[in-house]
Amino acid sequence: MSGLELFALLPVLVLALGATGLLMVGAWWPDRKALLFCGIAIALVAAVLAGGAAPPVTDIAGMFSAGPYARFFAILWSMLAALTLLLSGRYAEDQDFPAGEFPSLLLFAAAGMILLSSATSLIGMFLGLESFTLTLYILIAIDKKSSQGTEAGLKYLVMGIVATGFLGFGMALIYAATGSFQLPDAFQLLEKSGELRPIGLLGWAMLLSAIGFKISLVPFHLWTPDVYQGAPAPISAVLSTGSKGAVLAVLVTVMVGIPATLLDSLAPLLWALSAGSMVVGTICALRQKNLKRMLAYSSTVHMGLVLGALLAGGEIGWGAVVFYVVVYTVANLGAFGVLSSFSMRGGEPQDYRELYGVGYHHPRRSTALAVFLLSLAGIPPTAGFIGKFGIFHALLKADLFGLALIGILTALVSVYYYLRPIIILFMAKERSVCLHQGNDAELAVIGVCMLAILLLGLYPGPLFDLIAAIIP
Amino acid sequence: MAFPYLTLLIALPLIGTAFCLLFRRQPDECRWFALGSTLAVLVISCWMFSLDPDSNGWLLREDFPWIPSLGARFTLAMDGISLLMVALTGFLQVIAVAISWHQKKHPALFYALLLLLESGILGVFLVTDLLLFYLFWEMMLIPMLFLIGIWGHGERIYAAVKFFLFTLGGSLLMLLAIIGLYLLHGQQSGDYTFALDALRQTDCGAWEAWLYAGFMIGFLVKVPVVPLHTWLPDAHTVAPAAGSLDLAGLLLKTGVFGILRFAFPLFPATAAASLPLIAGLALVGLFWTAWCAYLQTDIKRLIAYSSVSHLGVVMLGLAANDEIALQGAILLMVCHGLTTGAMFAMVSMLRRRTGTRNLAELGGMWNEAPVFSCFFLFFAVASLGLPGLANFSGEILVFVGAFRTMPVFAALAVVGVVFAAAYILRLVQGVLWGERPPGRSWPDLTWREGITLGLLAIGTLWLGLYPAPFLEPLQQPVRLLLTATGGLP
Repeated sequence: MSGLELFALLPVLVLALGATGLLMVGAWWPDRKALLFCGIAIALVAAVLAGGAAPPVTDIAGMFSAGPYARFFAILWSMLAALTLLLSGRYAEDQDFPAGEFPSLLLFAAAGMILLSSATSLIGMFLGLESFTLTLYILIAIDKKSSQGTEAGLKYLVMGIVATGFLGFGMALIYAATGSFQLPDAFQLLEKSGELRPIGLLGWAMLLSAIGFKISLVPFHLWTPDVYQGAPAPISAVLSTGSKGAVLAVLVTVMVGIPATLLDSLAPLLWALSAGSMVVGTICALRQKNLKRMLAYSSTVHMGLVLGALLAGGEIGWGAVVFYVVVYTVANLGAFGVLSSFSMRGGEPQDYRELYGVGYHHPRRSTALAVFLLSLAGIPPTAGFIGKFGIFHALLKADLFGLALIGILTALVSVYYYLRPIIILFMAKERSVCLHQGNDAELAVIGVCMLAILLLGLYPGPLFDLIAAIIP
Repeated sequence: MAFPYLTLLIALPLIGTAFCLLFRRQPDECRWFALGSTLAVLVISCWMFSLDPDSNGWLLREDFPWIPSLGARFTLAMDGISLLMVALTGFLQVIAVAISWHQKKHPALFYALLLLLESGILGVFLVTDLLLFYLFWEMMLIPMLFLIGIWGHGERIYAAVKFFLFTLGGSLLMLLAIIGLYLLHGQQSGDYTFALDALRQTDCGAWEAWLYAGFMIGFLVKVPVVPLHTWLPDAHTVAPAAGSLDLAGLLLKTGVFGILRFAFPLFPATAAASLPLIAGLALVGLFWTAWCAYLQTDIKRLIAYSSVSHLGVVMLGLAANDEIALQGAILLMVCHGLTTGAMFAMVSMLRRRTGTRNLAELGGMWNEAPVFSCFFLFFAVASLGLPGLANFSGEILVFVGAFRTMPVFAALAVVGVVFAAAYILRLVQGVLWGERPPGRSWPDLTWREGITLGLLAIGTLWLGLYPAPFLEPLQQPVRLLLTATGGLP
């Protein structure tokens, strides 16, 4: 690896080295607040570096890219890490998280997500995926006092390891069939591999299953509600946004290079995964009485929809996926942010019955939560509508009428489960007990998310143009 | 470039919303903000009556880039039809603020939502870009959901969610149709755009019927046309007074307006073929809901059903595909907005006094509250279609026009007026005449209520006696529309 390549990897290096530094310093000087702010600063530096001057080389050791697409996601995930850290200051204090480890692990996770988003080879994909999944195992269970957190961590670990097995074995099979880890080659050679083609296809199917686990597609979604519920709210935010968004980002890279014949072989599988996720996720979400579990099932529905757009492909489809990832990330971060700002020492108000009439005690944050939920439901003038619009546009353009119709129907039903918390916040009888007042940092994060949602909903043009310019 | 008056119209209520939310601890200020911004809209829209249309019928047009990569633009345009609707919106919103002047529960939020709703409605009446239209179309839903859900009575959450899901279901189908049309046009011309004028040139081929159906279902749910109407009585029963006023006076009109502005011009051939079906649905709705209205004991529900019944006449006017009938239908929308709005306002005044809306528990108002009763009788007979009052001028035009193109339907529809007389007289009899329930005494109108109803009464008289100023701006847009759908040679 040459110096230039290292330079191109600078944002990731800053995050990883900064995280290591935090870990070291935290061992001797466990000042929670200072370390947290250092973490935020490191993430912001990484974002600035990624957004700054273009690196001299765009290919890093044949594994990662440092092109505009990769840098876009580097900024996005660095900002996600920064905002999550800002959000979790009080939460970490209240639940007594370890001072150095928490920010350090989050930065590691961000570095892993950036690596995954910028991967251009199967090896890069594996490295990125495993590096942030590993940190998430710890982060989910970081609250030592919470038995639910431990359970969630273990559940994610077991499921994750199975998925890793699938991923590794799938990659091995693809390598056996094609002799290449490089992303465009790994499937283009598959078409010339003759009798090894079925093995390669099996490899792809296993790889897709592993990805299905990670982005919780039906039937690989069963871990999601329990893990979301048990994990601390800021970590659920990362889990539902970055860990899924990064996988989708690399999927776009995969799909861009996929040859039409292979896509034809995989299309029925993708179609079924997409439709199944939308339908089953919607039905399950309807029954939930817990905000985090509802958001978990709703994320399954969103992933199904995005998978449909991936299948539709084309510049419009990939653009729609990237736009949707951004919007979905912001809305979910905001929703979990509100939840974590409501949380008191030793508990989060996740159950709907704990949220009755909260809208009148905490009007600003409740309004924000309502906006985030409406955005997830895709109601204008929030950004979620533009995102959904982009996806339906792509689906109809690719003649995927079935998926578009399922998408519309599930969107209609989904309104019901997104409205329920809103109704409970504002229309139910008021409770006498207040939740936590929240601090300025949390309000700032929520404010940024809300502003972004409304701005992207009313004036999405610039982001559309940016995305159109960076799609590989 | 000319001053963007239309953008200003949409922005004024939004500014009011922002102020109400900022000063949410001072309800008195909020009231004045709300009244101020609604009055400003009304004044500007009245001034717009003095404008002269260009050759395409537009009084004003504004066009700004919005999402260049999709070809969506922020295009607003106003013709005679939207002018009437905007003026009606301005007027009714002032009334809505006036009748909820003493809102006690979360007043700031109430006014903020009312203004947000106004902004959405104005947007729907003014846009000619389909994506932007959809945005405003959905933007109307959320404030209404909250108005019903927070300030409603009884089964408010059920009614609010039902309203939301019904209308959203319709509009999501419309969204698919919008995207389909957008793609078809893009593939044919290479120009991906949501502009109404451009999309009208699209050759939809085999898709035309499906796309038209998508649009129509979205609009017909909102009108509402039987059998898609079941959300409306529930929503009205529980909604607060201002909510009912907006729902009946304005939201229903957005459905009819959408048909006139988008569904008919975009698919003229299919639209012309579907007219008998629309006329049939309109007639069935007219009679069915009139019958339902007659059976109600809750007077608010009765008026809600009567409102659907009147919309049946409006839809018949649309289906007649005739110049006079169409003008009459649009005029009737305005008249219906005033009379039904007044009826809903009076029901809420009545309920505030008596604590009930049940016909069996009411009676004897004529002796107790003569001024109130006078107004009540006035608006009741106006809504029944008494000559000289608002609804009559609209209805007679619809019937005259419809006789020229579909005489059988028109003849049947006239019978509907008898039904209207039946339920209205039952309402008047139950509320005004008879013995008053023992042991109660009810105050008459306050001066604020009197002024509010007086304004509505003046409007009703004006529309009934001298509707010409309101018909005049309609002539050119109606002709242009009918030329497209084949109603004019």
